[in-house]
Amino acid sequence: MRISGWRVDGYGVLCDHRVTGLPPGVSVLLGPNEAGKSTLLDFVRSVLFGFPDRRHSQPQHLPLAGGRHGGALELLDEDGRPWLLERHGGSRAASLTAPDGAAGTDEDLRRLLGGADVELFRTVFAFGLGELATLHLLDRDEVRDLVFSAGILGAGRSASRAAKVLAERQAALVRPRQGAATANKLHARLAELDDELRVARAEAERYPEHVRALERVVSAGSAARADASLLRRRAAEVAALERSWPVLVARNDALEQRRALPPLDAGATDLLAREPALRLLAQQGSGHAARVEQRAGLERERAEVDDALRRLVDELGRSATLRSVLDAAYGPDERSRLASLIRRSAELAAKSDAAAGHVEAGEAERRARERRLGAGAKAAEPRSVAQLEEALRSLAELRQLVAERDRLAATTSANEHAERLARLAAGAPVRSLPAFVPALLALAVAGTAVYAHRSDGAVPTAVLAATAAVLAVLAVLAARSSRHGRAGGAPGDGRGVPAAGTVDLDRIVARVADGARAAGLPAAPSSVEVEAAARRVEDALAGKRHTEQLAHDVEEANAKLDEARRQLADLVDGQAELAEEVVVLGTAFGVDCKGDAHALADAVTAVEEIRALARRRASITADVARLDGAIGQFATEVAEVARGLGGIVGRARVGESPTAAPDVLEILEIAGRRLDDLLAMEDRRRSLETTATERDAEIDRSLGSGADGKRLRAELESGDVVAWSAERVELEERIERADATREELLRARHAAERDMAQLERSACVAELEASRGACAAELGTALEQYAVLTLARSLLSRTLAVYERERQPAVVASASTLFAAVTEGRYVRLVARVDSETGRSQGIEAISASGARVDAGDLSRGTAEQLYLCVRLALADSFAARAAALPFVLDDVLVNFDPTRARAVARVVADIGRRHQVLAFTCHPHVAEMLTSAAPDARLVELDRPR
Amino acid sequence: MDGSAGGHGSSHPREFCFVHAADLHLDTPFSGIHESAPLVAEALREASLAALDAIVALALERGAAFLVVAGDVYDGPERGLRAQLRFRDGLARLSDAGIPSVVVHGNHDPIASGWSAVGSWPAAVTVLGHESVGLVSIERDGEQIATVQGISYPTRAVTENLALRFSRPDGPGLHVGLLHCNVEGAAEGYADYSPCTLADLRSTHLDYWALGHVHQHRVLAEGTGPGDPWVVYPGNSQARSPRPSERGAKGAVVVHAAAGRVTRVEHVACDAVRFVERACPIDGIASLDELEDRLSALGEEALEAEAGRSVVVRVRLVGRGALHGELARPGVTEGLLAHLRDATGRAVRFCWWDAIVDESRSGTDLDAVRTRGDFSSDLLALAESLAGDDAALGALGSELVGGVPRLLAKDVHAFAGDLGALRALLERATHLALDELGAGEQ
Repeated sequence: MRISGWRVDGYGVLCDHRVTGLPPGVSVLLGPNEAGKSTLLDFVRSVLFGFPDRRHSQPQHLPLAGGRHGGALELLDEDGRPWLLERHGGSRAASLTAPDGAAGTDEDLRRLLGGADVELFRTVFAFGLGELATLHLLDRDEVRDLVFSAGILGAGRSASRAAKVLAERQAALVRPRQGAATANKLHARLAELDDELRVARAEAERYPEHVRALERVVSAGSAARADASLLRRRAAEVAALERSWPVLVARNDALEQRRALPPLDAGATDLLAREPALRLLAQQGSGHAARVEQRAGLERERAEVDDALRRLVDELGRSATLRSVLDAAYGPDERSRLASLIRRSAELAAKSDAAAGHVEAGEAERRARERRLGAGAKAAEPRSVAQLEEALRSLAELRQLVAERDRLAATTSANEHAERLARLAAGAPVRSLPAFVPALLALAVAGTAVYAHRSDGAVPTAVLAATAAVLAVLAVLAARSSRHGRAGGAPGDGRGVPAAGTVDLDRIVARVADGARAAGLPAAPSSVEVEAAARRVEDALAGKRHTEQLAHDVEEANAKLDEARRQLADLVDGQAELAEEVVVLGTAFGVDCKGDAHALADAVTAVEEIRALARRRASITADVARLDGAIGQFATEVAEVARGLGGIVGRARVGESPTAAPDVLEILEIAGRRLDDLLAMEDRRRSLETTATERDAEIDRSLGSGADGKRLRAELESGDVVAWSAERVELEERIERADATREELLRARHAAERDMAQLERSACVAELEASRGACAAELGTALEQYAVLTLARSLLSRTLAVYERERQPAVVASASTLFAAVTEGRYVRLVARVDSETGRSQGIEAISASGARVDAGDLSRGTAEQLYLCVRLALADSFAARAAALPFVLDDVLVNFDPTRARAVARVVADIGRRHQVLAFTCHPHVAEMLTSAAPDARLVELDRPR
Repeated sequence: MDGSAGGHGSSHPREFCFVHAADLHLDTPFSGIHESAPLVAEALREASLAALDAIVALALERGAAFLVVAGDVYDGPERGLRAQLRFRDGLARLSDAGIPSVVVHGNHDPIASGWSAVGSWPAAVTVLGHESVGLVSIERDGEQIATVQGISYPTRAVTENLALRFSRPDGPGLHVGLLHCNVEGAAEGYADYSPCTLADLRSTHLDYWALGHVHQHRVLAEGTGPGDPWVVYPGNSQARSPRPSERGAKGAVVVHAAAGRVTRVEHVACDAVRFVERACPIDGIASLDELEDRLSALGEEALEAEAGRSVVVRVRLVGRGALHGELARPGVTEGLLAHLRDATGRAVRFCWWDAIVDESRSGTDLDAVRTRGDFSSDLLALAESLAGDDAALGALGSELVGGVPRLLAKDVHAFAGDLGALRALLERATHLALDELGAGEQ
């Protein structure tokens, strides 16, 4: 690959700078300082391999004169085909245009560059004076790898770089010394775990020791507990002694007091022996007093009974004595008789009263009836009832006849009226009045009559009535006649034959007349008259009958009165008989009752009362006797007790009188008090004994029984309280110490048990072993990885060493030839120093014509630069032979050479130019002339200083 | 079968069973288990003890005539206190139930080493010593139904063939030999302690050999009758690591006997946690999310497969695929593991992700690399040359050991001194180097 030209769009001082048509051989680019020669060298590197980023130490060459940062290189491949490579700042990717105009790839670019990278290019192909001055750049692995293997690898990566990557990974896994590498850390952790495991295992293996230690602690704890127990027991004893001491004192006091109590004499003993009897008597004392009082009450009642008896007997009469009364026959028959007499007497009295009442009432009734009869007799009807009844019947017949008569008369009148009407209708004079005319007249007359009757007027009522009746009859007759005419016969029918009604009327009128006559009425009485007569007869009949009843009532009252008087008389007789019987019975009773049953009854009542009083008195007498017995018995018993009291109750006269209750009770009280005193003393004695016994028991409880109890009791009896107190204090201190020891041992025991339990449960060893196992596994994995990396690196290194060993001699030989030419034979050969183990190059030496070996570092600067230039040219040749012939870009590398050496170098460069493109930048015209002289085909490109 | 067979013993009409356990390794860490959550850590710590409890419960449940424990009750002479007390308590429960226990010690818990927290064993427990073969007569209802004889290891490394000390004594019932030993051909990878052959065991004419040492359940011989013994390893009671020998059901065996002979041996799982290793090919997996889903499903399958027990899963990412580059980045597999662990619930049964081992490869075609003749091919040639050269490989191992701080040298030596392991590491290193060189990208 060679560069045929470039286009700088903007790069440092360069702007829109173009160079084209550069030849395949040597091109000399001559320009003054600041013409941009070094800038152009960097431009070529940048476009070929990329712009250095800002972190890089290389200059950025940002456009100072405008234009886009970057530009293009025109390249020709080995076949002479043109490629255009453009690269601009801000875009790391290059734009490669293939000869056919298509876009080239990175692989195309790598192939054009022969796999060289920027370092190789900078070190071997494009360098300035600065890079030329040192050899170490050439020793860089990457450069060396590429020098020796790039051609063969083609697109392969740098073996050294690969080895470097592997080395980095190795370093992450293992470091020579302790460090942060994985395996180192794992190993350290493993060591820690081993230590922990040793400790844990040792601890676990101490389990039997723990067991023994626990047993020791338990044993010591038991001993301490026993000691503490003994101390506590003694402390308890001392406490018991101290506690019991006042008890013992109390007990002794009680016994002393008991001894001080007086002894019981015989009387006291006897009294105490009689305590139940005395208590019983005391209880009965109230009964005794009640009995005494009851007796007094009975005495008073007996006196009252006696007074009453005397009074009652006196009331019975002079002949009566209490004895006679009590001795009189007064049996059931007598009492029955007396009762019968009294009942009969009462009945007779009641009946007599009733009979007297009846008589009196009968007399009053009779008088009243006689007065009513006398009053009724003043208007007496002369006729008898039968007559009146007959008259009433006659008037009834008359009333019928009058009624018939009036009907017939009316009929007749009506007929005549009808005939008159018929005649009037036939032109004939009216023969009769209309029927209603006489009727009206009759009614008028009757009304007048009634009026006259009521008003007692001047017109005789009877006349008017009769007139009215006649008129009415006439009216009736007229009406009837009229009806007959209208109903059945022709108007002229009545005119030819006599009417049947007329006959009857006459007969009836006759009968009416008869009847009226008999009744004292006018011959043609009206119905009103008849009715009035009938009412009169009826009134007379009623009055007649009333009078007769009154008379009968008077007779009846007389009869009743007589009867009542008779009954009264009978009763009076009965009473007389009864009085006789009463007298007889009173005599039997010895009572003068004068025939009065009630008096007898009263006397009998008095007798019964006397007898009841007598019985009551006997009863009282009996009760008094009974009470006297009880009182005497009680007094006797009290006397018996009192005799036990001796002189104490000597003043009492017990039993002399039943009424001496106070004395008896006083004796009882005295005896009671005495007894109480004795009992109190005995209680006191017993209480003291009890106290002593209880104190003894309390002491026994405190001190215990058995031998220890006896020992303590003896110690207690010593009463050495001060010694006990001192011992207690000492014991408390010792117990405290013993407790502390025991607590400590207990804690130790718990700790030991806890430790043991923890050990027994502990998975610590297992956990540590698991962790160790995991750690070991991790370490194993890491070391395996490390081994793989190491082996891979070793393979790379070994292969590289073979390459260096086998290929470096050719490069060195080529460089030797060039260096010999440049130094014009002063140095005839170059030798590479090689590490005997790795085979890797370690430097270069120059062999002078005399055979002296001069290390490159010992050469003069110019000679050393010539040596490095020769080595680079040889390396470039070698690279070109295996990869690609890349253009040399030399930036004033000849300036430090003397003219002879410079011309020699120029010739070498010219020779190289036959195989490689050489772009030699210089600001020195003589250098340019030197180069162009050595390479006549060289093209001189003059660069102007940018404006 | 009557007692006349082989002229040994006499027939016994009684039927009974006993429990045979070994390699309890109580309360010992799980080797190779990475860091785990507290819940899981506790479950793992308790696992061996829980297995012991399960064995005790098994003996009680089955009404076992006795229990024999064939060594390695504890994991080391420093036997843990918790383990000792738990063991004592378990046997005490059996003793209380009238079930005798006979115990011998093995190479992990030699009787003359270590210490004992148990002052006195329960009445029906016999711990046989190491000086001579001890006999324990087992009686039931006044009749001797079995005789157990056994011997403990005095020290860890017993190279004597202790089986030769055993012989069938006179006496009725089943004759059981109790020994911690390595029977030739029983299993690979076990220290050859008390080495013996099947013929040695048969020559004792016992009826049953209750062995311990091999952690897999093995029935090396099924006896045909009295005098022709069954030879049985019950395996350990609880897996202790993700190693292949520790996978699968672990527990004890119930030995059924009748008429003076063993009729059947029944392995009963007593373990609480099982280790599962699964390979997960990354071929075709495009993203980490997809891989995580695949792994989650894989975990659920593992849990399902070990019904009733928690599982500790170690997954190997195998195969080739584009995801390899992603997985190779530092922290990626660790992050994935953490994510999966976070999803582990707090249920009694858990699926704990122990590790994700990335054994996947990039898509680099090694054949193509070999023929390229470039740096990568030279590197591959170098690696293959080293892998085929034990001396060079050994030197590499030494370099590895020498390249680490002295403190880590021993740990590195653990695998650097193993050519097989070293070869595997070299293969991984080769792929890593090629990946880093971008050899697969050409």
